[in-house]
Amino acid sequence: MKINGNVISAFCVIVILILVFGKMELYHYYPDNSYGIDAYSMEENKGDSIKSEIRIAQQKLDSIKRVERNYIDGFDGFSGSYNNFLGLVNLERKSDRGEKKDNLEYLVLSKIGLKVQEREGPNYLAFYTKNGDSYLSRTKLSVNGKENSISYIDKKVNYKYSSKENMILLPLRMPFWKVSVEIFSYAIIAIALFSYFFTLKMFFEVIIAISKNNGFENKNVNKLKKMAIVLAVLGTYSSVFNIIIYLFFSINHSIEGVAITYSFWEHDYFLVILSALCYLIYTAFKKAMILKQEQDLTI
Amino acid sequence: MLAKRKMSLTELSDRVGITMSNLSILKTGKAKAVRLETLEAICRALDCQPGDILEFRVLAI
Repeated sequence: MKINGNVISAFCVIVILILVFGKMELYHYYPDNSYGIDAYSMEENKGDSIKSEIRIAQQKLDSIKRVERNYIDGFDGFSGSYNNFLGLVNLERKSDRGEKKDNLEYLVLSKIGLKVQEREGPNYLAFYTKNGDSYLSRTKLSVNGKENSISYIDKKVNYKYSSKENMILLPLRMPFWKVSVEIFSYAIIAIALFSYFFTLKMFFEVIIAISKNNGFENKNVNKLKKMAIVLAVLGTYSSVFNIIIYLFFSINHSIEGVAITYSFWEHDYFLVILSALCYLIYTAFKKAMILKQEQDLTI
Repeated sequence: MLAKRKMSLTELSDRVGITMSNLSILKTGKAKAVRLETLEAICRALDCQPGDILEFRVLAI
């Protein structure tokens, strides 16, 4: 492919878009007209008094609900391992409300989180278990004339959620999936470690070659090219994998009024930028190698 | 020209002041370029003109 000004401009635009949107969160919003800014703005003049009314109502509701519900703010103890992609854990927390400890293994979705749809009024999302079932609970503000009321909308879900870690755990019941996830998880770790090791090794070899004035040689140029490719593949693979997980989760576990968040490229875009830098150095070294060869063959 | 002047490569190398390996590169045509000062030194050593030691050939590719 012939690289001209337009190709470079397009590439720059893509990089800027990745940098700008890479730090943003992707929300999965649902229209919910029963609560939100429209309802709240009707009573806007009351200002802070409404907010305090809501807070008191929320606290009262909380205290009532806590009696019968087993709220989980954070996963106090879980064993197992997970990486940037996924992993398997066991929950060791014993319920203080007499609920039985489950012996399930959970798939960790480390890059996906939940967030209540932010509107004017109370935005509160809680997770609790009741009789062995899991529920997500979010607040709802209703305004009838000048009457404000706050209520909870509960939705049964088939995963566990911790608001403290903003972490989702999906139970795995079939042995096939447990084994598959375990094998895949360890394979990913092995491939990533292997790739990082060789990238680092090649990096130091190039540095040593440069310090010995042997930098502009074919083998060093090839090493830089390999580094660029390995880093680009790792970064892209990680991102694409997580986006696929996000999409599957969004399709199967969407709840009205609760946004499923995913940070694009959180760590992976760093790898892609490193890869681009390696490619830049590779291009410069390739040109320098040709010039050096010409210089060496000039008698 | 070397045969005409009855001069060995070693003698030419000494007179011109370039290494044997570089002289070999020049002789086999692997050199990418020749410096004007090298050309001048060779012409001086062999007592000839640049045209006597340079030849243009069209290579069939």
